[in-house]
Amino acid sequence: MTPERLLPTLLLLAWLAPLASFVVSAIAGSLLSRRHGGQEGGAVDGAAARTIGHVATGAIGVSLVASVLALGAWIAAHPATDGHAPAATAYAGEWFGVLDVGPLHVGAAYYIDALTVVMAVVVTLVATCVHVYSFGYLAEETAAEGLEAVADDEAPTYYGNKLRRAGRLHRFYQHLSLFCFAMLGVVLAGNAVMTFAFWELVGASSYLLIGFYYERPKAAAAATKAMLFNRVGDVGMLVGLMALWGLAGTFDYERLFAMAPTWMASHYGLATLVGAGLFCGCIGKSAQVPLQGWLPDAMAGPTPVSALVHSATMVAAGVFLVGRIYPLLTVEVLVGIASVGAVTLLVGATLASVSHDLKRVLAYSTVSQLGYMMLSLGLGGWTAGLFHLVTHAGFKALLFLGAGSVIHAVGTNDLRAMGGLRRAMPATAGLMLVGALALMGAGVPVLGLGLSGFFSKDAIFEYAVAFARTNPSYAWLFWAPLIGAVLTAAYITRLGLLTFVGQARSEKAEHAHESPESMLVPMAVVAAMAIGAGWAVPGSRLSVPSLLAMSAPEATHHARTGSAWSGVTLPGVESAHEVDVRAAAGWAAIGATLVGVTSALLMHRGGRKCETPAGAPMRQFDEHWLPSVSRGCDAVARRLGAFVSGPLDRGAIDGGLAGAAGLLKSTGGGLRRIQTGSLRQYVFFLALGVVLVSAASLGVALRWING
Amino acid sequence: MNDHALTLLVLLPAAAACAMALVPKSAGGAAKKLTLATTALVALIAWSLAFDGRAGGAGLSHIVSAPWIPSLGVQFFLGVDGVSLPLVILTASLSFLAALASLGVERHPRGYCALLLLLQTGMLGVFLALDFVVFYVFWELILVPMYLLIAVWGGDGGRRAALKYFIYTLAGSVLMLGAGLLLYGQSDLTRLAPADLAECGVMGPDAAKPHASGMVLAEWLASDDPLAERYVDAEAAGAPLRTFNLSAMARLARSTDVFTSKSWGGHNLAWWAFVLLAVGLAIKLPAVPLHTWLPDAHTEAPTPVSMLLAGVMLKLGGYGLVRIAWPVCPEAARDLAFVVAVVGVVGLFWGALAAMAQTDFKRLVAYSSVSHMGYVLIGLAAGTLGADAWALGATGAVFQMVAHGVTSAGLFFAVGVIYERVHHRDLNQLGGLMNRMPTASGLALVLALASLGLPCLCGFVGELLVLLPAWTFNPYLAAAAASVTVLIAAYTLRAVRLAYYGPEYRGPNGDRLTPVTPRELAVLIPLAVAAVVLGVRPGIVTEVAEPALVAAGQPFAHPHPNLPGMTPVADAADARRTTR
Amino acid sequence: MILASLVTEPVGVAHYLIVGAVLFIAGIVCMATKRNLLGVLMGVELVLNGANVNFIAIGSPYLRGDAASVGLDGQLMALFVIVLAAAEAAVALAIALNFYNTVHTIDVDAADQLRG
Repeated sequence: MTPERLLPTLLLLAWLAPLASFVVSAIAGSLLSRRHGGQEGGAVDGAAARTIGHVATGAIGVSLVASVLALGAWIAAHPATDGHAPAATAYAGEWFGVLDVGPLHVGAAYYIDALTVVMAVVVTLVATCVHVYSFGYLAEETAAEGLEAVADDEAPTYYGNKLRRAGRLHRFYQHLSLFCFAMLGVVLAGNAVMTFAFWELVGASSYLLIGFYYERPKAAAAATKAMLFNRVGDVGMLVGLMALWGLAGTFDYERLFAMAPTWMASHYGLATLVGAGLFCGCIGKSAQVPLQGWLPDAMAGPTPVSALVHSATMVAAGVFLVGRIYPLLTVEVLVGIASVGAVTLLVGATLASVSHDLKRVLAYSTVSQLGYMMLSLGLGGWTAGLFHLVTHAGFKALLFLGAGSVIHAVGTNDLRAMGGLRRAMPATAGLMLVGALALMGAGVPVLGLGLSGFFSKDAIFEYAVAFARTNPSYAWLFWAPLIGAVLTAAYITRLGLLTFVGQARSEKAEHAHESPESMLVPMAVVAAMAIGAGWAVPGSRLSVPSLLAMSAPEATHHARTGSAWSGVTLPGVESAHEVDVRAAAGWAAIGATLVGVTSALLMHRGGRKCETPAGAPMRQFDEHWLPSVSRGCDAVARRLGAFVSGPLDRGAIDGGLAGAAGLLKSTGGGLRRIQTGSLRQYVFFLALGVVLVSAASLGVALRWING
Repeated sequence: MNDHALTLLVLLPAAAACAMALVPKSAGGAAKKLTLATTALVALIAWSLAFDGRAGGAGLSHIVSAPWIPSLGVQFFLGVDGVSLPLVILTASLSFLAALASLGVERHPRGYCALLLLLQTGMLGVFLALDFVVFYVFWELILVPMYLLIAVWGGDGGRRAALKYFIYTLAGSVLMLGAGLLLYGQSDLTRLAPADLAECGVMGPDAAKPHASGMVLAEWLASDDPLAERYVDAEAAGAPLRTFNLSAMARLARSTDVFTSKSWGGHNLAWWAFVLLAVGLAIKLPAVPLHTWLPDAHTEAPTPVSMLLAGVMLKLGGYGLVRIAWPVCPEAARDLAFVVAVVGVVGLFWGALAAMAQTDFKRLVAYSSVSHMGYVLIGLAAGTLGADAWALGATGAVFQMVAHGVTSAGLFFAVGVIYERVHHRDLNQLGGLMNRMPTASGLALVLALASLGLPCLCGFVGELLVLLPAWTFNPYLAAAAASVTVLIAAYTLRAVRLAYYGPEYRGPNGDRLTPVTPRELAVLIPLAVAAVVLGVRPGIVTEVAEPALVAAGQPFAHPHPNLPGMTPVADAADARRTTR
Repeated sequence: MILASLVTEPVGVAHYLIVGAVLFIAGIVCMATKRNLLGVLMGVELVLNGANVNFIAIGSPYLRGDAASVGLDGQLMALFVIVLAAAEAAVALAIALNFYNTVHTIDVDAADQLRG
C-alpha cells in the first residue's frame, strides 16, 4: 500500500481502538455492577475489573503498534536528510463526514505529517506504560465492598470515620480509554473544528480522571476548576475559530495553510486575532500564565493520570496545537506566545522550588517546561519546541511514575515526611535520578553526549540566543529561560535530595518498600525514552528532531519580520544553527544547570533542610492568593446571578407586572364605590343618564340643524 | 387524497383523553396504561413519518387539507416538512417518556392522564398546523391542560406559578393573534401564481405534490371546493381573497408587496406584524425580560410536566419564529435582527448568571433553559445576513431546540429521580449520590455534559452552527455569546459537584435513596443515548431540517445592501464539500 | 315662548308629548324618592304609561294631521307595553312578596346586598 493509504488506515486503527475499549468497558462496567451484588452500586468483581483493564491495555497496545508501524511507514517514505530539506508533504484527507450545513463541512479528517506520527507514538507509548503501571498503583481499587473495601482518608464523613467504598478500577480504565481516544483525535485532526471537538473531549476526560476520587471534596473541586480554566481559554479559541471562519470560510488545515499567505497579506489584523484567539485555547490547555492555576490542583487525581494526562500528553496538546497551526500565526502572535511562555517558565520554576508537595513540585515543573516549549515555538524554534515536547513527555512521565511509586510506598505527598528512600527503593531512586538528569538537561556539550533533555533544551537555547541577537530589545526572552534553567536544576535537585537522600523523616518513610514490578517495568520503558529520545539512530542521521524537521512549516526556514507595530524579526533555522550561536547556547545551558545544582546542594544541605529561602510567603502566594482570584470570579458571578434572579427577576420584572396588576385592581376598587346597592340611588343615576344623553343628542341635533 | 397519518397523530391523543371519561374512577392504573399505549402509538406513527421516505425534504408532505370555515378561508391544514419533522418526533418521543415517567402519579390519575394527552394533541397540532387559525387553536389548546397540570399536580406554589404561566402565555397569544389578523387583512390569494397556490396546499393535498400537473388550477376551479368558488368570485369581482394559510402568507411576502403597505409610525404592516409575533413568541421561548414565568412554572410542575415544558413547550416559541415570523416578515426580521441578537445574548448571560446563584437543582435547570434558548435567537438573527448565514444560523437554531429538548428533559427527569426519593432539591443538602445511585448519576452526568456543550454530545453542534454566522453578523455579540460557555460550564459542573460528587449524602431522608428503578432507567437511557447520537451524528437532524429551512429562508438569500458584511478571502461556496 | 304657543295652538302631537314627559318624570321622581317598594312599582307604571302616551301620539295620523297613513305601529307598541307592564307587575309583586318574607319590610333601602 502506498503511504497515503497506509498511514491513515494505521492511524485510524490506532485512534479507534481506545474508543472501542471505552464503549466496551462503559457497557460492561454498568452491566457487571448491576449483576454483581444484585443491586445498583454493587462493586464490580475484582477479576472482572482487571479484565476490563486488560481490554483497555490491549487496546492501547494495538494503538501503540499501529502508531509505531505508521512511524515506520513514514520513515520509509521519507528517507532521513540533514534536517534542512524542504517540507515533506503531509497526507491530508477525510475518513468520513459528520456535519454538512450550508457552506460548513466538518468531518473526521486527518492531517498526517511527521509531527502527527511522532506525537501518536509518544502518546500511545506513554499511555501504554501508564496503563500497565496502573495495575500496580491502583491495585486496591479491585476491592469489593465490605470489610476489604477501599478506605479513603481524604473524604471526610459526618462521623469522622474513614469512608469505605467499593473499588472502581474498571471506571479508571474506562476514562483512560476515553482520554486516549480524545488525545489521538487531537493529534490526528485534519480540521480546526475536529481539533476543537477533541480538545474539549480531552478536557472532559481529564475532568473525569481528576474527579476519579469524587468523594474527596478537593478532587471534585479540582476537576471542576480544571474544566472551567480550560473553558476560559476555549472561549478565546472559539473566537479564533469564528474569526477564522469569517476570514477563510473553511476549517480544513490543508486549505488553510495554502491560503494563509494570501490573507496575511490582505487581513493582517484579523489574522493576528485568529492566531491570538486560537492561542488562548493553548494557554488554558497548556496551563500557561494566567491560566496555570488548574494544573497543580489537578494533582488531586491518581498519580498515573498526572503522569499521562497532566504532564506528558494533554497539557502538551496546547504546544502541539501551536505547532500545528504555526503557518496561520503572525509574527506578533508568535512574540506574544514567546512572552507568555517566558513568564510561565519563570513562574512555574519559582513555585516548583518552594512547594512541599511532591506532586505539586512536578506539576509546576510541567508548567515551567511547557513554558519553555511555548517560548521556543514563539521564537521560531518550531522543531526545538516540539522536540522538547517529545523528550519532556518521556522524562516527566518517568518522574511522575517515580513519584507515584514513592507515594504508593510512603502514603503521603509531603516531601517533609520522606527522606532516605534510596535505601528502601533503589530502583525507583535510580529511575528518578535518570528523570531528574534529563529534566535539568545533563550532558557534555563538547562531546554532544547527554540525556534527551540536554538536546532539546540546547535547541531551545539556540533560538533564544539567535533571537536575542537579532532583537536586542527583547533580550529578556534569552535571560528568562536562562534563569529558568538555574531554577529547574535547583528544584529538581531539591526534590531528589528531600526524597531519597538523608534520613527518613517519618515512620512511614522508614518502613517503605520498593514497588512491584508491574510498576517498575513501565518506568524503565519511559526511562529509556528519557535517556535516548534525543539520540540519532546509530549509523544514520535519523533522530526525533530530524524527523520533525521534515514537516517544519515553510515559515520557519528563513527569518520573518513582523509587519505591524513590533518590528520583530524571527530568526530562521540557519541563524539558530550558526556555530557560535550553538556554542553560546550550549555553554549557557550547562552553566545554568551547574549553578542550579550547586546552589540547591548548598541550600538544602544534602537533604537535611526542606525549606527554600522565601519559601513560606511564596507558598502563601501560591496556595492562597492565586486561588483567591478564581474564587473571587466565582463569587462575583454568583453575586451577579443572585442579583439577576432576585432583585431583577423577582423584584423588577415580577414586581413591575405585579404593580401593573395592582393598578388595575385599585382602579376597580375605586369604581366599586359607586355601586352602593341602593335602588333609589340607581334610579337617580338612571335619570341623570337620561338627562345627559337627551341633552347631548339635543345638542348634536341642534348643531346639525343650524349647519 | 388526504394522508391521514397526521390527523391520526393529532387526534389520537385527544380521543384517548375523551376515552378517559369511560375509565372507571378506581382504575387509575388502567388510565396510565392507556396513556402509555396511546403515546407509544403516537410515537410510532411519528417515527414512521421519518422512515417512509416522503417527509423531511424542502416541501410539505403528508398534507391534510379540508375546508373548515370557508367564509373566512380557514382550512384544516396539516403538513410536515424538514423543520417540523424533528420537532414532531421529539414531541412524540418525549410525550411517551413523560407518560412513562407519569406511571408514579397517584393523585387523580384519570384527570392527569386526560390532560397530558390533551397537551400532546396541542403540541403536535402546533408543529403540524399550516393554517394560522389552526395553529392558534392548538396553541391555545395547550394552555388549559398545562395550567391545570401545574396548578393541581404541582408543588406548593403550583397555583401561583400556573397563574403566572397562564397570564404570560395568554398575553403572548393575544399579540400573536393580533399579528395574524393584521396579515390576514392584507393577504390576497389571487395575487399568487397558480404554481405557488398549488405548492401552498391551497388547492388541496394532491396539487401540492411536487409532480402535480400544470392543469391543476383549472381543475381546482372547476371542483366543488368552497375555496375555489370564492376564488372564482373574488377573481371576477377583482376583490382580494384573504387567507390564513401560512405558506401562502410567506409566498405573498416573498413575491408581492401586499404586506408592505405603509402603516403606523413610519413602518410598514409587516414590521408591526413581526414585532407582535416576535414579542408574543418570545414569551414562550422565553426571551429576557419575558421569561420570569419559566423558573416558577418549571420548578413547581410535576416531573413529567417539567420534561414536556422544557423539552417541547419552549420549542413552540422558536418554531413559531422559524415558521411564521421570519418567512412572513423577512424585511422586518432583517431590520430588527440586531435587537433580536442583543436580546439573545442578554438572555444567554441572564439565564446563566441566574443559574449560577440557584440552590434549587430544578430551578437551576430551569434557568439554564432561558440561557440555552438565547442561542436560538442569535442564530435566527445572524441568519438574516445571507443564504449561507441562514443555512448555518437557522439550522443551528433548530438543532439547538432539538438538542435542548433532549438534555433539559433528561436533566429534569434526573432531578425528579432525586426528588422522588429525598423530597427536596436543595443542592447544599445533596451530595454523594454517585455512590448511592451510580447508574442514574452517570447518565445525569452525560446529560449535564451534553447540556454544557461538550463536543461529541448534542449541545455543541447547535452552538457551533449559531456562532459561525454570528461572527460575521457582529463580532462583539458573537464573542460575548461564546464567553457564556464558561458560565454554562460553571453552573452545570457546580450542580454536578454538589449533587453527585462528595463523600456521602447528608441531607434528609437519606434512607430512601434507593437505587434507580428499571422504569426510571427506561426514561433516562433513551435520552442519554439521544444526546450521544445527536452529538456524533448531527446530520440526522441537520440534513432533514436544512433543505426546508433554505426553502423558507429564500428572502435572506440576497445579502442586505445596507449591512457591511466581511467577505471571506476564499469564496466560501468554493470551499464547501471538498471530497478527496 | 314655546309654552305660550302651546296654549294658543290647537291640540296636537306636542301636547301629548308634554303629557308623556310629565308622566315619565313623575314616574322617575316617584321611583327615586319612594322607599316603599310598591311606590317604586307605581313609579315604574307611570314611566311606562308616559312612554305609551308618546307612542300613541306619534303613531296617530289624526294628531299628526296627515290622514293618509293608517299605520297601527304606535298603538300596537302601546298594547305591547301594556302587556309587558302587566307581566312585569306580576313578577315585581312576587319579588316584593319574597323580599318582604326575607327582610320583613318593603323598604328598598334595606336591599343593599348588591353593594360593590
